[in-house]
Amino acid sequence: MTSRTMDGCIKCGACVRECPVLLQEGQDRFPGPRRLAVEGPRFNEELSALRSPLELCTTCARCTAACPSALPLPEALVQVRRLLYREKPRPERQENMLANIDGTLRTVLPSGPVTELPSTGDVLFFPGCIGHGRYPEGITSSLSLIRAVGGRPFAPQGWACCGSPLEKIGDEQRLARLEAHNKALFRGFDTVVTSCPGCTVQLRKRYGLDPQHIIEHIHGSGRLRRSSFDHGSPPIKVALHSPCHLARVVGPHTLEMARDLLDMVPGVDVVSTGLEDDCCGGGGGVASARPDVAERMAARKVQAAVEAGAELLLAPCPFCVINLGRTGLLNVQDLTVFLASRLLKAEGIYSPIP
Amino acid sequence: MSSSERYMPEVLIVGGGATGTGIARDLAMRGVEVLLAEAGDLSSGASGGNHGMLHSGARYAVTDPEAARECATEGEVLKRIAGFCIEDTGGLFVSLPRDDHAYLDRFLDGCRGSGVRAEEISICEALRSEPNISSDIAAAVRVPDASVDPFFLVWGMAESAREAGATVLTHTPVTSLHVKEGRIARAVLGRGERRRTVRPEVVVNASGAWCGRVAAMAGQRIDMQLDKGSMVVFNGRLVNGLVNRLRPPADGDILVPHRSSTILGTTSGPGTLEDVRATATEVEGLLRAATEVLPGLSTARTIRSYAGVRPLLNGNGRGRQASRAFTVIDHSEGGVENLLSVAGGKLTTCRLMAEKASDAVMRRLGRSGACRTMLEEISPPVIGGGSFQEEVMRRKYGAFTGTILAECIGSPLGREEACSCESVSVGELEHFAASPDVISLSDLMRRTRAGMGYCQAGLCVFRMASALDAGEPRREIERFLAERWKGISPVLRGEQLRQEAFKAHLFKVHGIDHTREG
Ligand SMILES: Cc1cc2nc3c(=O)[nH]c(=O)nc-3n(C[C@H](O)[C@H](O)[C@H](O)COP(=O)(O)OP(=O)(O)OC[C@H]3O[C@@H](n4cnc5c(N)ncnc54)[C@H](O)[C@@H]3O)c2cc1C
Repeated sequence: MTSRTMDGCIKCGACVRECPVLLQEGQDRFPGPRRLAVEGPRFNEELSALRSPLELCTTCARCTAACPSALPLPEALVQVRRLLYREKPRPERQENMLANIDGTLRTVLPSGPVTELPSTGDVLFFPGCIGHGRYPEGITSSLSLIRAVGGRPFAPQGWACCGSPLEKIGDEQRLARLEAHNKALFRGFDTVVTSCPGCTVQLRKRYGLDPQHIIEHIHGSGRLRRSSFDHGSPPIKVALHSPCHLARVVGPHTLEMARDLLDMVPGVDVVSTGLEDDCCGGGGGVASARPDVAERMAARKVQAAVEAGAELLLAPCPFCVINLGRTGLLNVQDLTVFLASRLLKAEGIYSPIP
Repeated sequence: MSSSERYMPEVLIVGGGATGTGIARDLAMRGVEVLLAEAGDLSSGASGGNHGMLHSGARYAVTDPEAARECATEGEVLKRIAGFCIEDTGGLFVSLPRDDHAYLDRFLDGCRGSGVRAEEISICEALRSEPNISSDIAAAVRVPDASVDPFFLVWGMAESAREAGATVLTHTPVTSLHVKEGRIARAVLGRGERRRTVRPEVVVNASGAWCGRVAAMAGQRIDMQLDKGSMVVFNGRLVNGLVNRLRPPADGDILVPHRSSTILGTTSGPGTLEDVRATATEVEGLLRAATEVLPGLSTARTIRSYAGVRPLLNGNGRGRQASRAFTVIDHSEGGVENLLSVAGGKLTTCRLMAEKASDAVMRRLGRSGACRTMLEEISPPVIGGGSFQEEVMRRKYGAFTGTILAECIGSPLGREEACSCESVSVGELEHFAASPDVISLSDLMRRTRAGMGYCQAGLCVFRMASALDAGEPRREIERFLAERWKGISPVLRGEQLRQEAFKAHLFKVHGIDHTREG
């Protein structure tokens, strides 16, 4: 049958106008969410010609936000991917990711030293593959912040990928396997803190948990205030990136919380770039399928931050940090890393990622 | 072509539906000089108002074995020669617990007897191939039904006829036939400046539901009735192949997946030649019947309705009982020796009808020449890579895509999308708008499918009008939208209601009320 998304469109064009990938890449390369999630799936075999543009959706959900019928376009699009990838090879880097999952239960193999996590405590912290394997500073800073608000973070031994990347590229089988694995580990806990919004969303949607993003956790604790931060640090101009899955899916309140937290840090001047809300280009499997596109999207944002006078670009999402960092035009940091580095008493904080 | 040009055809064919274009192709391929005159556009009659089934013959296996046999062989021939406009999806016949069980055996017997390849399959297997149908089904039979796009079939046959040397004139009604000494001495075609006279040796009346009127121009009478059938179009593909109800033919029995939509039909009732349309009551009846087989249908998005008129020859039963077999009437018995009328039949059997009619014409001309239409492809299906836009084009235009593509891809503007529901480019619109066959937005729609999608021309109508460059674009737009509205208003509910309300706002800016007829 047709989906609610396919039947619910009245062709107002809002999603087409708002899609950041379409804007960046042009209609020829990326026809946008309406073609891929609404119009295209109405056809029969013609649909297979949409395989390659389908790889370019970052699932940023800006289309859904703009849609007057609030149609779940990214989900519908992912559904189409699932249909088209059945038994077909995927882009090389996605195949690598799948091999990693089959070997280690995680999407990436650590590229350097990892941050060790305590195995006991009272706050279950889910590190996520990207933080664990590619951005250990982000894990360290999250642990510091949880401790700063009075918790004892720990992670269950042998945690597996939350499954978010698998869902985005439509690999149902592996997804089910990972979920079963994690669910057994999470038994008995209903609060989980994550630093990656992708994980937050996934744990909420598929695990029946009430996960908190680290920003929600530390802000909600009410225990951080201006006096928690170092008054001696030099003044700095920063730009704040709004991660799609955090702001649009977890909720827009998270961005207010992030700004609140930044306001507490002495010497921080948050500059406005005008593109805060734009997707960094890394999500939805785009970074692995089409790194060139992910980088072009990132460059546009980073450039805007540079032009606004920012010395540092902050994002409360390790995945966005890595994608934005690709361009090398500006220093990019996870918001937690920055906050932790400005805490009065911090432990184990290192300098920004190279 | 200018009116000063002289046409001296051996044969005049009246009517540009599946039958007329089929005959033009057949005779032209046998080396006969033919002129086809169509009053409106190609497919503006029943050929553009039918259900789009390429019958395996199964539907007629019990009630009409002769038609079943013809469909069984001709369906396979068309798959071979017109693969570009056929989706060979296969079909299922399914019965529900309340249906008469004895019918299954009669059905299987009938299929066997008429050469229809039918195979009973398990309920499980049926549900696997059609997961959306009711899990209550009591029996299932697989048959080689397929889905055919009549607009492209007829257009393809007309182009193929032209390639073989035929002249095909659209928007050229035959206005009078002058009989002198027991034969049609001359025929007058066209009106006003485009009026001209031809003196063919043979006239073939292939005017479908109008065949009585055309025959009457030569003082001949054809005893026939008009039977209207209505259909409902749903957004997207609700079934993978054709789904038929396994019972004696009744209303709302058949679902046909058709390109980006699904078509439910049909009804049967007295029809007229003018103002052919589906009514809200017929739509309701169709939905009620079909929801029994496909429960999800009640919430699926209906995008329009339409109707067509079947010419049924009298003496053959009424309505659904009337035979679907065809007849070639030789009017020499009625006193006109060079007039043949071809009536009845199906879209599926159009090639066979053309062959039989052409054989009769050859005899009348006293010429020899064997039929070649089943040997030469109209266009083979063209498969292969490229963008979605190109893929959609190939599946519409087949081998004709090459030229159109060359024009479209030539410029970025040409590639630009004009109708996004159906992925029609500006280049395609311009290509067809330049054809002398195309004088209205409806003609342009029949050639390209622009405006046939779920927004029903809400967004593409202006693009279409600018490609057509008609004398009075505004009047033409209003005329076209009124015709769309005729089909939309009987299905106005749910999502389509929201769609039309949104369109009303869009059009208001231009002072257009798209919900007004004529
Ligand atoms: C509701 C319905 C559903 C159907 N479903 C199917 C199906 O699923 N499968 C199938 O195989 N068949 C189906 N059929 C049958 C099929 O549509 C017809 O058999 C076929 O289209 C007939 O083609 P035709 O060329 O004989 O008639 P038409 O297509 O009606 O062509 C006759 C043409 O003659 C023209 N004309 C009339 N008067 C003049 C004049 N004076 N001068 C010049 N031109 C003139 C008309 O404008 C018209 O275009 C269906 C029919 C109906 C009504």
